[in-house]
Amino acid sequence: MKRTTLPALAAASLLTLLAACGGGGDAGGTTSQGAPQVDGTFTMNLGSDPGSVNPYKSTGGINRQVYAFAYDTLVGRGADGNAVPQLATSWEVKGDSVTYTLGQAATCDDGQKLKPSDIEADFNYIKDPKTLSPWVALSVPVDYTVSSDDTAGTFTITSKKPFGSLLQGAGAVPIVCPAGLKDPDSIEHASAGTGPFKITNYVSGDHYEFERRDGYTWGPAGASTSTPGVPKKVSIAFVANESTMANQLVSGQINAAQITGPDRARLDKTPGVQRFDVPVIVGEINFNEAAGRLFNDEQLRQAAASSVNRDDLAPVSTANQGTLATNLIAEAPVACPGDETTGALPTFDVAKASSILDAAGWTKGADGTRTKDGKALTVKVIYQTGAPQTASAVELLGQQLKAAGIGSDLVGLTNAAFLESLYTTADFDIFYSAINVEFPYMATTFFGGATPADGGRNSGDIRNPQFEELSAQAAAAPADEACPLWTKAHQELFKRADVIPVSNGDRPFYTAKATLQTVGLFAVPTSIRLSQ
Amino acid sequence: MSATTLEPAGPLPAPAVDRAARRTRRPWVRFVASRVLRLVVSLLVLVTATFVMVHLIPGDPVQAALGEQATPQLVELRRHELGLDQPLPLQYVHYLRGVVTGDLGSSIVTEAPVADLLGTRFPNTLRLALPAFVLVILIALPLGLLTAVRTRGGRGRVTRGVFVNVTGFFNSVPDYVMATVLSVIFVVGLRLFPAAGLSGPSSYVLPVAALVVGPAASLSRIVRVEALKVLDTEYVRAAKSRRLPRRLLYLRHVLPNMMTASLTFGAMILSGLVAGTVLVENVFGWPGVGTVISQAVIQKDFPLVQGVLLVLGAAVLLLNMLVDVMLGVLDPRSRIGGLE
Repeated sequence: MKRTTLPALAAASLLTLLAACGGGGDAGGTTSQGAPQVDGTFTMNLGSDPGSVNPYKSTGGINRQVYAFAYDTLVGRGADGNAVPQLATSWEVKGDSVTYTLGQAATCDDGQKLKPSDIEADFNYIKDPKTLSPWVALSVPVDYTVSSDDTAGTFTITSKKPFGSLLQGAGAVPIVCPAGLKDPDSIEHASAGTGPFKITNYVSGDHYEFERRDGYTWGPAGASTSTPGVPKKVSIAFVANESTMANQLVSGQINAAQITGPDRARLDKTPGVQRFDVPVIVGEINFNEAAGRLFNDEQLRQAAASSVNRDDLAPVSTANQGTLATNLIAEAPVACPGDETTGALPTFDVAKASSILDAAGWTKGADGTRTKDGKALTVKVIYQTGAPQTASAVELLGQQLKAAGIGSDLVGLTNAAFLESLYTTADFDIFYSAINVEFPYMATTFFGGATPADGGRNSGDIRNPQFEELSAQAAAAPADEACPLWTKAHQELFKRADVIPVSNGDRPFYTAKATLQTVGLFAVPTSIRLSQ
Repeated sequence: MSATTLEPAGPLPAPAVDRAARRTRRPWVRFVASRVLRLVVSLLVLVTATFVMVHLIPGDPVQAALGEQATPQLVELRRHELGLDQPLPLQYVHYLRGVVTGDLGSSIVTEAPVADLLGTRFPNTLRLALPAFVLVILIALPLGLLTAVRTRGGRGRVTRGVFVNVTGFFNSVPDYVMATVLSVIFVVGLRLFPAAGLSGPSSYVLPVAALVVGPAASLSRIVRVEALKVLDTEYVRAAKSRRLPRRLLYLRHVLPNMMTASLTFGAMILSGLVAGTVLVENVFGWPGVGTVISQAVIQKDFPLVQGVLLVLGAAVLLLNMLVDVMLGVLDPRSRIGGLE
């Protein structure tokens, strides 16, 4: 044997040996679901480390997904959007009060039985101004009092003014056990909940590990951890690169990841990889109506809205994978489904846009941009960088505005810079983004009320009295009567061109050798099933 | 008339020969001291530059870290806890004090101490960079030397052509592109190796390969050029005329004499590898400082960005200093600059 071939053979052998040592994944998947895998480990990737998983410190998307594994809520949400039993097995809505009757089986992960008085303590905790919990503003945005009866097993919440979504709102607050409430620092990276899993390990910037709680039977609609296929362990790792996550799915290294970018195309074609949709609003045009800004003038907003061709913009903004938005809310199950935009949003009509601007004294210059009294009609459009389709959509939006003579300065920003523009500097005329919430009442703070300067979230400084009045009526109405009012309220926003929903898209979960269900933006932990 | 004598006002200065003798008695002290001083000054510039650079990144990291639904009061409280409501010069002084005492602050997003995070992550980065460096040397030195021997004196035109073109190609491919290509072939296509993470020996193969290819190609070209020069020297011809065995000739006479330039370039490569792992780590989800810093920059988690830049920069500076010292050992001529 020649000497030169020996090193080559040695290298090949070494490579093969090393390949056998590690997780190379299976050689190819199948489309059919295999038999349930007993006591397996479910691995899921998310984009970044949420840091603290103390449920009362943050309502951010990744935080909620992680702590959903360890904490329960009073009620869950069924596929039809209605409340389903979870910690509460039944409830009674009477006027401005909701009384939840707790099941007897729920225990904390330290073995202590969960009592109604523990829940009372939680609700008093989150409304204490000192805790600054965002849950109050998100889920129960009205002043309330709580009481409990440990003997009867009931917890009651009473709002001080009518709030028709009290059952769902209060029912969505994660319940922290006494050990965690007593020492909030202890649950920064550990758990003190009643959920189906318990946090067992955390490596900063890398992953969280969970272990199944055997004997758990109080999941949404009676889900339990004894069902075949429920994993024994869960590992949630943080990988920023979606292509890497997609490679891990394809190679079988992980079971689930949420992929929103171009890698979806190849995952959709990969045998053995399944997709679970998470509908969201993807594109939305929001105007800055603050005094001194161009779009403080409703006529200018109408002109801009009339120059927007949503039929062209929607496919670009979703890379041809979405649809035209017809509702202000897209999270499934949509609380008030139906077309809210037809007849309310200004229709695409460049001639109308031009005539509005002509009448307002804006004359077209040589470069096509209109001017008035020496001032150019140029608007600053900000958007978050990351998704290539967003940049394309904003570019198209700029061209559409230009057709009517409205110039634009398109500014892509990182998430941190984008939020600073929205909530601190307010230096923008249009922000192209999407506000996704579960219930209509959660959106009211973004389209009305206090501005960020005054402690609110109304970045566009929208002052729409009809919207605010109708929203107040809808929020106060019983949940099953509120939808027509919410629809009218949203239409008031569209008529005044305060906001233009553009497109619905998807933030799907892809899985390999696993299935799950999603509600809202999140995967439901008790729905996870591993297969062989 | 009295004779005038000139007497010195004080003790006579030592003769020039004595001053030079003192310098040459302790040449190493001055040489090493000058390098250490340079390192300290460079570190101070690095600390200041990272602080300034990071604060130029636009955005509000606290709002981004806490999320859109965080109350303004919570955002202000967190800003105050982090000292971000203080004037920038004061923040710089606190930061400098922290660096000296080993307190690099806490991540705005995860609230984990930066020093702890780096303590966990940096060794993982070295786990890629150091084996990659060793492999670069093990590949580049024999490859460059062998090619030089075969192409000396205008011989082996085909060999030379193949060598130049292949190494030129691999030298021009960025390491993150190489990483992506390797992923596509060996992970997605052949499923031979894991896609990401640190999970056993096989998880090292692709990231290290991605790091090695370009620098090995680049260094082998340098080695070939240096080897060609050395092979043409009189002492090598003299050694050949004494019919020394080839192995002895190359290892004893050729290799040591081409090490100076190769070592310098090799140090640059190692510095580049440490920094270059940033992109490769992101492709392979490797739990090193690279994956940490890319997210930290986007989130403007500046304590983390500052900490990582400081550690990486300090590592590169330290490496350069060590190489200077090693060059001083190998080639005394390089110490003359330090003495003067």
